[in-house]
Order: sequence, then C-alpha cells, then structure tokens
Amino acid sequence: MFAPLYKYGYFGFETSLVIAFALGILFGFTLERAGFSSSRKLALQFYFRDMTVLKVMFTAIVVAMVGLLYLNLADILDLSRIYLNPTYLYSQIAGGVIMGFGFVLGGYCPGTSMVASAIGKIDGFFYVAGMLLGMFIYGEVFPSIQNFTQSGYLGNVTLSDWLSLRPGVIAFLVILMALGMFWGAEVLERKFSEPPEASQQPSASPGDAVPASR
Amino acid sequence: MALESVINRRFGVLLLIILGAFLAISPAGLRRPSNFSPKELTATIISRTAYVTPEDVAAWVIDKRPDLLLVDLRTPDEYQQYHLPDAINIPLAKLFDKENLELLNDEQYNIILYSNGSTYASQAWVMLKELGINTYVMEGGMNYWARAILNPHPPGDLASNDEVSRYQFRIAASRFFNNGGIAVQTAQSSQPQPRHRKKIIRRKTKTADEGC
Repeated sequence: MFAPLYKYGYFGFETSLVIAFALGILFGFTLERAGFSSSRKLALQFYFRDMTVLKVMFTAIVVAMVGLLYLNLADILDLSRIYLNPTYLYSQIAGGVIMGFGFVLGGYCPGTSMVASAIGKIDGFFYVAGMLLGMFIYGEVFPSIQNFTQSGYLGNVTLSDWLSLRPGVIAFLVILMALGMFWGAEVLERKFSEPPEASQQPSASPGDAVPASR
Repeated sequence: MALESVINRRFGVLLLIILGAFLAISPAGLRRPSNFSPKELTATIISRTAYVTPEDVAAWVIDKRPDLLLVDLRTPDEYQQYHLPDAINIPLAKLFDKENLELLNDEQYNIILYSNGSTYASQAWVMLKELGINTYVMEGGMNYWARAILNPHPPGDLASNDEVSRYQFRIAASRFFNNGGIAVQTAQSSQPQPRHRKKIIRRKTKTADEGC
C-alpha cells in the first residue's frame, strides 16, 4: 500500500500546499464548465426546475466512492489514513439549515460564489463579503454558543460504522440511491419546469444527452 | 440520436450497478496494510529484545506495576491449576477471537505472553506482531517459573556473584508467590556451605524480613 501519497511520505507539507492549489484551480474550472457560475441555475435546484446540482454532486460522490473502494481493494490505498471530519450532530444540522437558507436566497454556495467572483460577477463578490461577515459574527458569538457547537459528538463515524455494514455494501446502496435520485430528478424536472424556458448553459447530466428542462 | 443516448444511459446504469454489486460482495474498504516484513522480524528475534526473563516478571508483579498485562496462553484447565497472579487466560486457539484481539490492542498495557515452555508464546508473538500488536514473551514459560521462582535451587560451589544474587532474588520471590501454599525447598536443606556463603545468607534473611 503506498497511498495516500502524503501520508506515506512521498511529498512534504509545502508540496502538498502547491498540489492543493492546483487541485483548487481544477475544481473551479470544472464547476464553471458545469454551469455552476450562474446563480440562476443553482437556485432553480430548490424549485425543482433545474436538477443539475443534484446530478453533478451525486456523480462526483459515486465516482469518488467507487474509485476509493476499488483502490483499497487493489491494495493501493489505505482508507484508514484518510482524514474524516468529526461528526457533531446537532451543530452540523443547524449549520446545514443556515447554509440552505443562504443557498436559496443568494443562489450560491461558498465554493460556487468563488467561481462567480472569479469570472467577475458582482453578486459573487457580495456573496463572498457576506460569507466573511458571517464568519466574523460566528467568531464573536462563539463563546456563548460553544456548548451547542460541540454537542452531539459521534467521533469520526462513517455510514459503514453507523449501519454496521461493510463499506462495499454501503457503496452499493449509495449507488442504488443515486440512480434512483437521478431518475427522480428527471421526473421532477418534467413536472415543475416552465414550458417556454430555453436553458442558456449546457447541463452536465451524467452519461446521457437528454436536456435538463424542456 | 435519441436511441444512442438511451443506449448510453442504459449502459451507464448497468455498468454502475455491476461495479456496485462487485463491491458489495468484496472486502472493499476494509483492507489494511500488511505489517509482515521478514527481515525486521528476524532482526528482532535475534536481538532477543522481545524476551523477558521470569525474574523480571516476578519483580514487576511484586512491584505491582500498573501497566502490566500477563496473558496465559495455556488451556483453561492448566490455568486453573496454577497461573501467575493477575494473569488472564486466553487459550492459543482463541487468541484471534474478536474480543480477545480488542483486549490485546489496548495500547496502555505492556503485554507479556507465557505458556508452558516458550514455543506457544513465541509463535503467538510472531502472529501478533504481524497484526501490529507489540508484545513480550516470558522466556522459559511456566516450566522455568516453577523451577526457578517457586522452587529455587541453590547455585553450585563455583557460582559467580551474579548467579548468587539471582538466587537470593528467587528465594525472596518464592516466598512472595508461594505465600505459605506450596512448600519451598530452601537453601537450608542442602549441603554445608563455605564461610563466605553463610554471611550472604544472613543478609538474605534480612531482606526477606523487609519484604514482608
């Protein structure tokens, strides 16, 4: 087993920062090409009119999951050395709800707001400013909400630990769930889309050429 | 065009389901790096750093060392007959059961394996090392323990100072471990000793009093 390469000492901390920088550029480029610099496209996800976000995100999840597990099966990657964020159940649920509000209202999530700012959109700049303001407010009120932020600690738990199933079985269930959600997304789009709407950006649906909203 | 996209889509779905089904039946995600490196193992074996003498173990038990975990690899019957104080019994056949492995994986303990001789303990040491669990082996096992600690024989006429002091320690330890149970054959029952030995025996009784 020789991966993760960083944990096995193939490169040091400074090189890892350079690699992170290059990966970030690739990530932003991919988001922009998928059409995620348009706040309209992103917000329509919550009106069930343009399900591109769901399709792209779940494609990424499935590809990464299958890839990691096959690399582990081939004795290349040691999964136990990959960092997992610890789970703080209640505070993360609250954070998700707040982020959901911001997503629908502003039409961006933090990563795509950077993409929009990078191509010069003014609303992207305001979103980033709002994000920084939110961080500042969080830091100021942190002492009073500290207990809540650290409640519901479950450790570095994965679906496989929680459901007591092997990771391969979890992967298969997630794949079935993702396929069901792709199919469900198309149903929702057909149901909710506005009839005369022509989408301006190409949608990045996985493996098929059916347009997103017609 | 539409037909091609439908075929593409069906192919994609099928491929994904096949990949997922194969993952479901495989041990994916659970593979760990193997720790087996013959050269390192052999070097450790030859350097004998993993061996501890029964005298060391006796000293640690007497000192009530808190991080000590003695593991008896013999059968439960032999364990019932006699076992080292505070030793736990994990028969070799059950060594790799899940609960026992979890017990051994606890890093706060220094684990010392022992069996009747050294064979089972040494073999268990190699297997546990491959799993990444570091342990020690008590050299000579219970056989040596019974002869040396429970029933120490006095050294011969040409013994060195080291051997004599080791013998004194064994006498003291035998008192501790026998605490009046099994009869101990002490030095008094053997042949008369030269003068300098008598002086040493006097000092020995003093230390035994201090121990009690």
